[in-house]
Formats: sequence, structure tokens, C-alpha cells
Amino acid sequence: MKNNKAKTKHTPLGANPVATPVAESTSTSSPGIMGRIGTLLPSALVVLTIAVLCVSLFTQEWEMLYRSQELSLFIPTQQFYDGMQIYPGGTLSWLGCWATQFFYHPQWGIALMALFWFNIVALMKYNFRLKGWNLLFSLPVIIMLMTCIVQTGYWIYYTKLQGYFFVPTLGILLSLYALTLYRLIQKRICWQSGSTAVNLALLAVSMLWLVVFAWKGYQWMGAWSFLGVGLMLIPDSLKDIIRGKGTPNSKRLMASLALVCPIIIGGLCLQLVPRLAYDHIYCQTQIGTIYQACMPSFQFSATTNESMKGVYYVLFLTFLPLIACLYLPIQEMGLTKWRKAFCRILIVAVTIGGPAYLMNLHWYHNDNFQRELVMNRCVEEENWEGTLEAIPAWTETDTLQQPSRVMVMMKNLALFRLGRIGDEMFNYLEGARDQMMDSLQVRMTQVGGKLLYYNYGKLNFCYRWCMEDGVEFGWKVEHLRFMARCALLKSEWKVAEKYLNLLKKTRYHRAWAERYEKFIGHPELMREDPNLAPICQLKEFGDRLDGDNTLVELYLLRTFANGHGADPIYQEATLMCSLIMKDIDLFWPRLYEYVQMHAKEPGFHMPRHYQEAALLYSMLEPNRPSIMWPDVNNAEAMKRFPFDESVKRSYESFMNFNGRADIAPLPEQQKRIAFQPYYGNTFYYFYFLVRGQKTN
Amino acid sequence: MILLGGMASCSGPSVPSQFTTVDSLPAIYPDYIDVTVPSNMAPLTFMIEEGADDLVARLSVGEKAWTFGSANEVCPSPEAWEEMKALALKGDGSIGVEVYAQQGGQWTKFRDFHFYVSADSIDPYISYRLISPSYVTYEGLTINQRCLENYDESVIYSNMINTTEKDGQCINCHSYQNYDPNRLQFHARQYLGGTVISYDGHTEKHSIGVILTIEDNGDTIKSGGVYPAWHPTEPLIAYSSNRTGQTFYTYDPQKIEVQDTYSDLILYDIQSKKIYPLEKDTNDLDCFPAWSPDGKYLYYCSAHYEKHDSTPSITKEMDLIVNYRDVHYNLYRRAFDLKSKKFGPREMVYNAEADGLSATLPRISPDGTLLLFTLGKYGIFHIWHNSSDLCMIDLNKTSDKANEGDTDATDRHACAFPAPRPLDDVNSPETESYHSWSSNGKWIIFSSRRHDGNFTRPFITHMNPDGSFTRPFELPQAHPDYHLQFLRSYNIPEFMSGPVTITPQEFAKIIQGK
Repeated sequence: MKNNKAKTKHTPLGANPVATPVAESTSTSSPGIMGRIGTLLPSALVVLTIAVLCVSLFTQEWEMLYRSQELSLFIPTQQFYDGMQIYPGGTLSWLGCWATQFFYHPQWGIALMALFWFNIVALMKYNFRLKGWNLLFSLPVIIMLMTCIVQTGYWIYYTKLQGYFFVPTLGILLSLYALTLYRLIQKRICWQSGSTAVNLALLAVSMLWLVVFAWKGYQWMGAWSFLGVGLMLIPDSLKDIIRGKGTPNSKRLMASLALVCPIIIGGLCLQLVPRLAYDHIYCQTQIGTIYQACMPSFQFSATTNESMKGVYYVLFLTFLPLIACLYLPIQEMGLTKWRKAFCRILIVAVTIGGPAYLMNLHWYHNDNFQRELVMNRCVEEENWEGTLEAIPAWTETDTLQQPSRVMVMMKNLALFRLGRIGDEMFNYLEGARDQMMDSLQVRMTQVGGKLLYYNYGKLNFCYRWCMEDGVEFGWKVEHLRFMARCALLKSEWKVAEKYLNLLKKTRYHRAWAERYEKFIGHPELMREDPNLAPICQLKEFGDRLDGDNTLVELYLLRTFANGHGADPIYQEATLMCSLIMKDIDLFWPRLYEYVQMHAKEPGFHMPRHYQEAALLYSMLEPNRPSIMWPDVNNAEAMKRFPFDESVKRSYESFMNFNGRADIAPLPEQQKRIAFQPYYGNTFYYFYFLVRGQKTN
Repeated sequence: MILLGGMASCSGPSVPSQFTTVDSLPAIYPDYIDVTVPSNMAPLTFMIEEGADDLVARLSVGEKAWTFGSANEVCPSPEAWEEMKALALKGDGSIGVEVYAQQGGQWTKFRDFHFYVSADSIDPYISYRLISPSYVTYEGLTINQRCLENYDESVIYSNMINTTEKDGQCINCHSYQNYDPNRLQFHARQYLGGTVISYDGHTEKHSIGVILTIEDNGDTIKSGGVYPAWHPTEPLIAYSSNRTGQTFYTYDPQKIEVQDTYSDLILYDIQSKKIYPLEKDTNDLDCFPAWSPDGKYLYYCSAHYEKHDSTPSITKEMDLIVNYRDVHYNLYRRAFDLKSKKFGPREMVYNAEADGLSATLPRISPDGTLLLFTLGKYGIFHIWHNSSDLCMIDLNKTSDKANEGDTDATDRHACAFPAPRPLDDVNSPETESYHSWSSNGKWIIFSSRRHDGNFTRPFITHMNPDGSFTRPFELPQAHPDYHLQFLRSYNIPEFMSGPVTITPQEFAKIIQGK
């Protein structure tokens, strides 16, 4: 304390502050254990808060962080770097991409993030002279940085800002570094005792740095540099000017000049730099966006999410208390013990409680979003059981809990690949829960569609949407991986090699690329590979000119249900889709083909849902000529069809249940709830009571 | 093992003293083995495609040699390159190339090859559109210009400068009058759409690319001007006006089929802003106009397509999609009278349909004697057809008889020119498509997907005095792996006598109407 006071006393004008740190100013007696704890508590709270944030990220957003690196790309080449420099903030975005790749192991990515956050706290502590309990004023910035991450949700698929997760953190970090250098120069200025020439030279150097940072910073960091420049405008020595008693007027004039210079020069820079950069450097940036360069727009097509943008405004506003700390340090001196405690509690509430509340308010909580991430990863890992485990045993009574269409489709894909689609397809609750996020209409082409197209052998459609999204949202690891596999499966060796070579340059996807590299020129190896073989079988049939109109599910259902193929896997896909489409005309011939293909297999058993559909359709159209036995109609054919007794019983039971006096008059929604516990796993239930499953 | 010695080398990496010699050419990328380059071409850089731990190349002309190499790339310095080209031109034009590659500590020397330098220069600039080979999205489209004498590349115009998240803009069809960068046009479509035409210092956005009323009869054309052809001397541009759609293959590596369901030709006077229609026939799909260098003929391609299915509910668009392989374009020309701005009846130049093929993109050599075009099996958009190749017709020669299948010599199938010859020296198993002649008629630049079947790259080839062509070479880059990492295609490479000096920002203002 004494040292500090001494330092403060001799602070020259324009240099060191008069701020008196709270903790050190409160006690002149030697600190005991409690005192030491009291001194360390703010730092401990900072560490604890960041630790809690990191643990929350790890436990609650593990899947999203892992996904983020798949939806990003970093290639350590000059060309990749140059390619990002066409927009202001390219370097920051590039750094963001570099850091994002570490989310391949989310714990490493989080550790890196924590490192940056501690670094930010340290720099804030220095630049805003945060001591004692004032240190907590650095936390709102960190918590809002965390909010930027956890609010993302489905925008992870739609953001066009490369390196999105790290850009805010790195933007603030680099701005603070620039500010630190500026302050270091400025602190050498001493109008009271130093030579005027030296002081003017130092002032000039600091102004030069301000201009250089404003100009280059905008190119490197886009709008994030405004923060650095803006903070440089704020004098940290205003009190010295005001209180500069005894300082000669000429020196006070110089000191005032030193205060005014950054405001004028920095202000001009803020105004002019983006415009000059647009005129002379950036010919691919729309002029209306030059002041938001390298900021996420949360805009897609006609959709804008102002609330998410608001988080960024709040992030910048959290610097206001820090600035206030420069001029209005909280003074605990003279306060009673209770008031001091109250004051500290208030600080904790304002710096941790408030921002944490805001963070929680913006945290995107959506179980389906998380489950989709899990299922997506499981499908990519060919972990089909894991894919199924991600869907809980919901019931119709859980009105708010139902799967999205992409979940249903990934579930069906898993069952299909496990060979259990005919028996278990309807064991799971059907649903079409909207994937809307505020006004953002999530489309399957961006979320899950590519995965489904690939796994169902619609390789050109998978490739197409990778290409479309690569152009629209930027290239990602996921695109290159799909495109490489599609090219391999279509024997386009050279272009497959191109994508694999790009992946081989990445830090974490090299091994994957090398695994697939061995298939170049070797289609026979792909036909033997357990993961690729089913896709080889699906891709062989039905090349045609077509279009999906962005409706992935409808396109898959329609093309498979109307398709013909001699391969058993392909054939079952046609049967499965005709079943889901409830198309009687398509179902019968496909069932017939299915029986023809499999009936002679030892131990053949007709899957339950196919039996249920055959039984139901026969009952619905008893007089229709049978396709299975052309000499009789459906009613007669039923007698020859080897239905399981359990299937017959469940059908009869379903119909009886429907005829019950207390059930028959119920509206359809209530019937769904009444039927679901008993018949929710049957095709009858699906046929009569599951409707309007709109796909996007 | 052999020990090297002999020729003096300029400074650079040293050639290994110990190596194994193999009797095969190195698999270099780009494939510059025995290619011929113009006297003013930028240095050819290359790498070993399969990878090498280290690479050294010794380039030599006579007794003088230079060595280059670093990691897996050979990048001759511009100064040395200029010197060796000058020396080569004093001799037989050849530059010897020895390649040494190191893999796992072992150096290998491959069979030597040559670069050949032609005394024929090439226009110093080209321009092209850079576009990802995507289908409906088009963020980050640019029309770029590149100096062929070095690696300098700049943006002429980017769609992003006038694109908002809500309103996108597509740009296409850059074109110049007689290689003059001061007389250019390109289209901006959708948001703030229009055609930017710059003519001797006056740049303006025209509405020809959007929709207009045709002169004389007040009829409305079905689409704006699309594919342009500047009259060689007058302020006139012929356009085809197209309605284009695309459909997707589910498996075919060609991926998409782009078709016109309507297309006609129009002539636009950029000064009076009047439109002069050519013959209108809804069953004829006229496209890709190109003027003869004297401006007396307009060449183009045209397909006659009548709806196959008479079912009223089947639209012509649907019918075309189903029967896309039945659409065959022939080459025609019409005489043009500058005074009246009227065109004569069409003359058959090549009846591709009779050969079961489809000919598009006619381009006449600057001396007016050769017609270069793209020939594929069917359809109009040959960049997506791996069957498409470059072919040539000698316009100075005449056909002995009309093509087989032409029964009526007075109608469209009469043909006065000889059968085309494919440019076997130039073509590859993959797509060859858009092409342009250099202003001196000695070089052609063309689009090809020969390397990977998906990404279009510009290739340049020299026409020998006997009409044959040298091995085409890919547009050189400062670093040879540039195109391997590059995920965009080069579209419509056009020669220019110099750079476009109007900045993208200035174009942006013009498009905004400011």
C-alpha cells in the first residue's frame, strides 16, 4: 500500500494513474490469513468463473464444439491465408480457423480458449488498472464471450464468419495487445519532468502506432480493431490534467494536446479507415458492411437475428465499467465492514451474476439440436447403435418432446444399415418438430441432408450440396470429406485425390484422408470395405436427371419408392420408402420383389412391419387382384400369406380398440395419445394416426 | 551412378552429385513437358505431382544453365526466365530441362525434356470469371484479369461488392471488342441487374441484360441478352437471349445438364440502345453468336427442337429434360449489312446433327480463315460434357457436297464448308470447351477439365504453320500447386491487349446507378 501510494504521488502527468485499488487501500495493518484470502479472493473468483465456464462448455457443448471443427477448415498454406485476405478481418478469421481445429479434441480447444480468456483478463488488469475487487470487472467481458459461443445453436450451420467461435475472443485479445503497446509508449511520456522534445517524439510514436493499428488492424481484424482504436482514444490520465496543480501552463497545454491528439486522430481513423480500405483494397466487400467486417451478421437470406447480434453489442458495452474503473475506482476506504461486504457482494452480482443471467438467457437450449449433433457424429462414425441410443423413448403424451425430421431420418438410416428397418422402424416416436431458431428456418440440405444423401448413395446430390454450401458458407472439413468419398465412389480419382490432399494438410484429418487414399484406383477395395460397400450397392441404380428442390426427405422417399434395383439393399430401400409413403400401389410390387429375393434364404422371416402393411392393405382393398398371387384377389391371398400370429392379433386388437365406444369418438390427436402405448410400434398406427410429417 | 559436371550453372540449388537415373519422364504438375510457350510468357513453375522431399531442375540453353528448386517446387526467377527465353530464341527455341527429385534420401534423375519458346508473342492479358463449379449458389464470383507476362492477377469486378445477404447478384459474360479492355461488357444479374458496357471511356449500365422491348414491332423478348459478341468495329453487340435451366444427374460424373428452353438472337446498338431482332422461331434454339473479323457474318449455333410429347400437361421444358440427348446444335452464319443492320438468310456451316453431334461456341480466327468450335454428343453447355472437344473448320475451303442427310440444298441443311477436324493435339478425354483466339491468331486459350474432370483450368496452345497445335500448357502460377488447392473454375478465358483500368469500386457505383 505504501509503495503504491508513493508511486501514485510521483505519477507524472499523462502517465501513471491515481486509481487506488480497493483491496490494497482498505487495510493499513499487516494482512492476516483472512486478509490474504480477501486479497486473493478476487483473483480466485476470476479463475473459478473461467473454470466454471470451461467445464460448462465441456459438459454441455461438447458435441457442438466438436461439430464446429467439422464445420470449419484450416489449411496451413500461404494460399489458404491469402484466400482469406480478400475481406477485412481476414487474418483474424484465419486465426479463428486455426484455433477452431483444436475442437477436434474439445478439451484442447476449450483449454486454448481458457488461455486466451486468462490472457484477456491479464491485459485488462494492466490496461484498466484493475486491482483488488475491481478485477472482477473483467469477467463480464469473458462471460459475454462465452455467451457468443453458447447462443449459436443452428447458426453453426449458417454463419458465414470463418473461425466464428474464436473470432470474438481473439478480436478482443489482439485489440488489448495493441492497446497495451500504445499504453506502454504513452506511459513513457512525462510532461512534468521529461524533455518536451522527447515527450513530443513519444507522443508522435504513439500516434503513429494508433494510425498504423487503425489501418492494419482493420485489414487484419476488421471491425474488431475499432475496439482497440476506441480504447486508445480514452485517456487514462484525465485526472492528472485536472489535478495537475503546480504544473506550468505550457506543460499543461502539452499534456492537453496529448489528450486531444488521440481523440482527433483516432476518431478520424475510425471514420476514414474503413472507407479508405474499401476504396483502395477491398473490392469484394459491400460498402454497407465495412463497419461490421469480421463480425457475425446472423443474417441468412431474409432472416436476421437481432437478439444474437445484441449479445455482441453487450460485449462491447462491458468495456464501459472497465473504462469507469480508470476514473472511478471503487473506494472501500472508510467503509464499515458490512458496507464493504455489501459492496463486494454487489460487485460480484454485477460482474458475475448479471452477465451469467444474460448468458443463461441466450444459451441455446434445445435437446433436439444436441441429439442431432450426437446422431450426426454417430452416423459419421458408422456407430449405428449409438445413433439409435440418441433417441429417447418419447411418447405422444410428451407434447413438447418429439424428434425433428432429420432425427427420424437418421434413425431410419441406422436401422436400415443394421438390417432392422422392417422390424423396428415404428418402435420410435414419429415427429416433425420444427428446427426453427427464432426466425431462422433450418433446412435439411444444411443440417443432415448431405449425410443422408451420401449414406443412401445419392452421391451427386451429396456432392452438390457440399459444393453449394461451400460456396455459400465457406469450405469446411465436412464438405471435403463428403466430396472426397463421393468422388471415390464414382471413380473420379483425380478430384478425390484433390480433396484428400487438402485434408492431408489439416492437423486432425490427415489420418482419415490417408485411410481413404488407399481406395484411389481401387473400386474393388471399396466393394469390400464394410462402410463403403453398402453405398456401392445403393449407388448403382437409377441414374437420371432430377432435382430435389431442397426437400431431402421427399426426394429420397420418392426416388427410392419409385426405383427398381436388383440389389437386396437397394430393393429394401424401395420397399421401406414405399411403406413410409403409405403408397399401396408401390408397396405391393416391392414386397413381391422382396419376397422373391429373400424367401429362399435359410431362416427367412418376413419383417414385422412389412407383414403389418400387407395385412392392412389386404383388408383395405380385399377385392384388388393380388400381386403376390395373381390368380386370386387380396382377400384370398391373405390366406396364403404366412402372417405371424402376433401380427394378426395386433391388427385385430388395433381394430377392436378403435371400435371401442370410448375410443371411436375421440378426435385424432387424442386417439394418438390413447393408441400410442399399445400400438405406437405398428404400421397401423403409423398409417392411420401419423400424418402431416412435414419435411424441410 | 553418375557424376555431374560440365556446364556452368547460375546461382541456385546445386544439382545432386549422386543420383539414380530412370528412363521415364517425371510426372510433373502442371504437365509442361515439351510444351511451347510464347516469347512473353511468365515462368513455368512445376512440381512432382506425387510429391518429393526435394526437387531440383536444371534449365539450360546451349552452354548456359540455371538451377532452381525448393522443397517440391521449381520456380524459375523472372530474370533468369527472361534471359533463357531470349537465348533460346537466338537458337532453336528450346530450353533443356533436367529434373532431379529426392524421395527418402535418394535422388532420382528423370529423362530430360524441353520447353520450347516461340517467337510469336501472346496478348499480355487474359480475363476470366472465377466461379466454383456449383449450381445455384454464387457467392464470391469475380471477373479477374491476369497478366500473362507475370503472375499478377486482379479483380475487374466482384459480385460481392454489390451483394447483400438478402439480395444476391450474379455476374457473367465479360466480353471485349477486338481485345480492347476499354471496350467491354459484362452482365450483373438479379440485384441491381443490368449490363455494364464501357466504350472508350464512357461506362454505363444498360438494361439489355434484363428485359426489353424489341424494336419495330413492340414485341417483348422472353429474356435479356445473355451471350454477347461484339461487332469487330461498330458499337454493336449481338446477343443470344436465353431462358436456361439445369437439372441434376443422380450419379453421372457430369453432374448436371444445362439446357436452353428458349433462345434467340438479337442485335443491340449500344449508342442508340435499339434492339434489332433476328429471325424468331420458337422451335429453333439459337445461341453463342460470334462475328467474323470483317464484321460481315454472324456465326452462331442453333438446334431445331420440336416437342416430342404432345400431351398438353407436358411443358416444353419438361419435354426437353426428358429428351435432352436429342438436342443437337448445328453451326450457321448470316451475312450482315451494316447500313441497314439487317441479316441475310442463314447458311449452314456445319451440320453436326447429321453426325449425331452438337456443335457450339463458334469463334473465327483473326484472319477469318478458321472456325474453332466445341463439339460434343448433345446439348449446349459443353463445359459439363466430358465428350466435348475442340474442332476446326477451314473456312477457305469448300465442301464437295452437302453433308450426308441433307436432302434439301435450299434449306438449313445445305452446307458449303468442309467437315471439321478435331484438334487431336489439343483435346483430352475430359471436357474442352470455351476458347478464344489471340489477336495475332497464333495462340488459342481454352477451358479444360483434363486434370481432374471437375475444375476448369485455362490452357494455351500454339498453332503451327501447318495448322497443327503444340502440346497445350496450363496457365502458369507463381506456385505450381496453386490450382491443386484452388476450388474455383476458370470460366470464359478471353485475351485482352491490356488491363481493364476501371476499378471494381467504380463498376460498383455504376451498377448502383450512382
